[in-house]
Amino acid sequence: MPSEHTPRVELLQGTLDLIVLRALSAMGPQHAYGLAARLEQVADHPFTLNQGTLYPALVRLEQKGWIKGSWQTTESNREAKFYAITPRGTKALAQQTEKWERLSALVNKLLTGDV
Amino acid sequence: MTAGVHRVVQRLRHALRPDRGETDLARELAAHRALIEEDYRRRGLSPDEARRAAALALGGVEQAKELHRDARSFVWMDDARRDAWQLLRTLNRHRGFAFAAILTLTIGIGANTALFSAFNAVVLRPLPYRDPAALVVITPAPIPVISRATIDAWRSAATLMTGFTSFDGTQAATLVDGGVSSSIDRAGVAWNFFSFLGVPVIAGRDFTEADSRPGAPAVAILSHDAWQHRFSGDPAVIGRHLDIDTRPVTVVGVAAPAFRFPVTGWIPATGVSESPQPAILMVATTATAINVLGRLAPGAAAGQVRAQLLPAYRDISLARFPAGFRSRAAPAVEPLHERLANRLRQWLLLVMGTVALVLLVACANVSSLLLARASVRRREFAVRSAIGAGFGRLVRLVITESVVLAAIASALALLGTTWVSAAARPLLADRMPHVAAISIDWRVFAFNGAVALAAGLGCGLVSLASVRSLDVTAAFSDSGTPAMSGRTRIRRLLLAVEVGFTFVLVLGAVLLAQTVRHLDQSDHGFNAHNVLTLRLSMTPNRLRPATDIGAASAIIDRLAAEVRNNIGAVAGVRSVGLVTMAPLTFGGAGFNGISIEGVASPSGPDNSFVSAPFVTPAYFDTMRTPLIEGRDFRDGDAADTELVAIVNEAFQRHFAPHRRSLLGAHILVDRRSLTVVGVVHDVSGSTLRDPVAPVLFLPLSQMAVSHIYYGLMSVMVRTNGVPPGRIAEDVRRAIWRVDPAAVIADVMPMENRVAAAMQTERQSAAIFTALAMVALLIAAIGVYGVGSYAVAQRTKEFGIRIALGAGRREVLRLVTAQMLGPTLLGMAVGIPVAAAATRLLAALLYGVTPLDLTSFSLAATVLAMAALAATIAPVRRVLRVDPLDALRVD
Repeated sequence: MPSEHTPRVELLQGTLDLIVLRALSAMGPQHAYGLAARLEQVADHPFTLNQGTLYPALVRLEQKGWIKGSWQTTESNREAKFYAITPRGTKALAQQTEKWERLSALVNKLLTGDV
Repeated sequence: MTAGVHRVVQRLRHALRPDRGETDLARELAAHRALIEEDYRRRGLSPDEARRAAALALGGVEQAKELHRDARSFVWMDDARRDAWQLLRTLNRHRGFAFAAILTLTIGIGANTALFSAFNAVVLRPLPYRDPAALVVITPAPIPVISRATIDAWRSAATLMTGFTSFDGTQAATLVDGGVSSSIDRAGVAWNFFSFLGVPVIAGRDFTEADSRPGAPAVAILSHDAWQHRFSGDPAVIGRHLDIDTRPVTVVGVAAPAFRFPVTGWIPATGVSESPQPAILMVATTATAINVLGRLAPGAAAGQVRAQLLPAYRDISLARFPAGFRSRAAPAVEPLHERLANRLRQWLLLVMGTVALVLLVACANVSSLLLARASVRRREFAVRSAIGAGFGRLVRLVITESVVLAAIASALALLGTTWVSAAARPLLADRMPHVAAISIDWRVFAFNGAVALAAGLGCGLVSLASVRSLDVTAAFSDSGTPAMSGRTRIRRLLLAVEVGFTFVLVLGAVLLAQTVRHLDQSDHGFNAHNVLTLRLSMTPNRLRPATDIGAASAIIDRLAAEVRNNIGAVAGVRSVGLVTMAPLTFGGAGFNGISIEGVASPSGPDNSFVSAPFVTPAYFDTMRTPLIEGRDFRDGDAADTELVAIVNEAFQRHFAPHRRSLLGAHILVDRRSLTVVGVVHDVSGSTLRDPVAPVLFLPLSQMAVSHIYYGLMSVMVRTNGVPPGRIAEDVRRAIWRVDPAAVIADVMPMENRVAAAMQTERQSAAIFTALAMVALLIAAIGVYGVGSYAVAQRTKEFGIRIALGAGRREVLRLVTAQMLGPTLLGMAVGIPVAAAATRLLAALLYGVTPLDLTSFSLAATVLAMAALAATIAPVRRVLRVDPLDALRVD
């Protein structure tokens, strides 16, 4: 399917947090730009990730104690704040993923099955 | 949900200290941008193109920051914090305004907090005893004396109770320690008194049962006050031998400081409250107890206990009394807390209501100040509005201002309350049972906070009018008078409200002051000066030989005669009289169904109740109660002579309104005929304020005519000018020579009883006067504020008027109208409001009605004078207006 014709996807409320957690869990510590680039790359169509909108999600997750940010240097020797998932974050990711799966299964069933 | 809690904590932290998050974010966004740029450059874009692309990819930086801030902290808190800081800086610039507003609010909030702390200590907080909710007061009727044998019987019979203790009323005693004598309050208590109440003995030991056995050496525990003030807190006092009323006593312990005797605020049967004083408590050895306390078993209610207490009381305490008493036996059981609080609750609620009025006056004043200031802030609001602040934001600004002012005032009020309650302690000590316990606890803290918040929000809401009427263009155009008129109207309205409430307070103060004056000056039928009173109980051990009520009466008569003779021989005593009901202590003893021989009651049989005290000869002379006609009782009036009576004028008015005199008439009462031998002046019965009722005085020597028996008698001793306190010791010793086991209580000058009977009125008057003065001051500041504001605003106009030839008098009239208009309006509204409000005071008033015209005029005059005084300064400023200066104002 040519990507130009796909409507842009708006992220569902709350899903961005889950996606960020999952990305950090899969890729290891990342800075915000790395995360954004990764998300754009994974999505096979451009979704509206205004990179600035990542920050509220990051601060929310950090304040919940699920990720932890620390200043480090990149390979190109630039400073950046790297976020890593915490053990509590890993646990939360498992719970949230399960919750999401149950929800999406229900929604799928409602949308496709005979109701 | 720990993650959620964690997050709230973090957000709060950021809201309070936002700077760190902000710089960190800026740094992170800059790094982010650099990374994108680098990436794009690596992909071959020129530096310029890379920069533009990076900006595009990142999106609006300010917007991102805003979102971040939203997620990171609580923005509204952040705003409020910033507003508050900015406000504090502005207040520092407008010190006059800040001072006036904060002072006014501090007075209003402080008065409320102080009164609430008293209310809290008395009504809300549990008594300082172990499990105080279970404590009950046992008041037996018809005879208020319980034998110790009865209490012992209760211990085994009353399964709904877990324990009992008892104590006697206090009496002034002479303490001799190492040859130096001083006066101290002495009271007998049961040996388990302290352990029962859960009051620790902090030095030495508690009483033990062995201390109460016959023949045991007399031991005593000192109140903490007595220990501190009479023995300088010397620990060596334990084991010391003292001489109390000529009896040797050994001190064994000291009670905890929080404990006051009488069980703090105990109100004895006389209705006279005793103030806590240095006291020495000894194990009571008398066979009877006067005040009995019980402790309810878990789950038991006071109402259920009565039936369990009745049999032992009836069969043991009343064993020697006629059957008529036993059939009427009814011990009353009342929770101690209720007993203490009930007397005060209503009075305190009235005072709380009054002090709330003061807060309203203060709030009206502060609102008015805020409105005046709003004209200064108008420009600021317009700018904020123009750069996009919404209505809600402006509302928050205004509210923040008043809440911050209230918060400062609240902190000052808490400090002030600590000080004021320390100062009020001696004033209230007699009235407030637990005044010693008044302190700032969480309830006072919460109340103070709530009042401050309410006051802050209230003032803020009123001054919101300034935001609502905000007209941006008008605010920017330089001459700003038109937008002002609405605010000025509100300010004048507020002033009227202030004046109205103040009028209510001033009127209350005037009415109460009149009450005190009337109580003080009116004729109560006796002269309390130089009279010593005490309550005496010589029963029942001395009545043991009596086989019937007649014989008992003869014994009482003989004992009374001996007491009179012995006291009469004391140096400094002019005369002695005994009475079963002293003035101000009339109880429910008397007769119904009295008739006069030969006088037909116009409306059928008259069954009204008539108090009937028994008195000895010389009683009326001792009390200086004038004998209008006839004679006093005399020693010749005996059980076997003609039955006689003395009536008061009210009796004569009531039963024989058409006869000139009842002298010689026969009164039919209780199937007997009494000859009236004298008529005396009316005397106040149970309180100073009772309407004077008919009283039938009977000679103690003829007590057998009645079925009424009084366990307690009052002894009234008139001195020949010697201060009554000085002969107390000799009088007591004179009584003990007749009956060494006699219980003597409430030894005090009669004047103290009279003062105690007026205590509520005096204190109410003092509190109302203080509050009214405060309100008056605030209202005067309000009048002054409105006046000087008007003058400042209209200086130019006045200048023009004067320049155009208007007389200064005309201008003056304008200004005074601005200030006095609201005052008059407030008084016009305040008068009907006050007329309704003072009805709540009616129960406290005496000799003056709530609608007393003199008081209304007096209050109005006081208020008008205060308002006029407040106009002086603004008026002087008008008089100094120089037309040229005025025109140059702009």
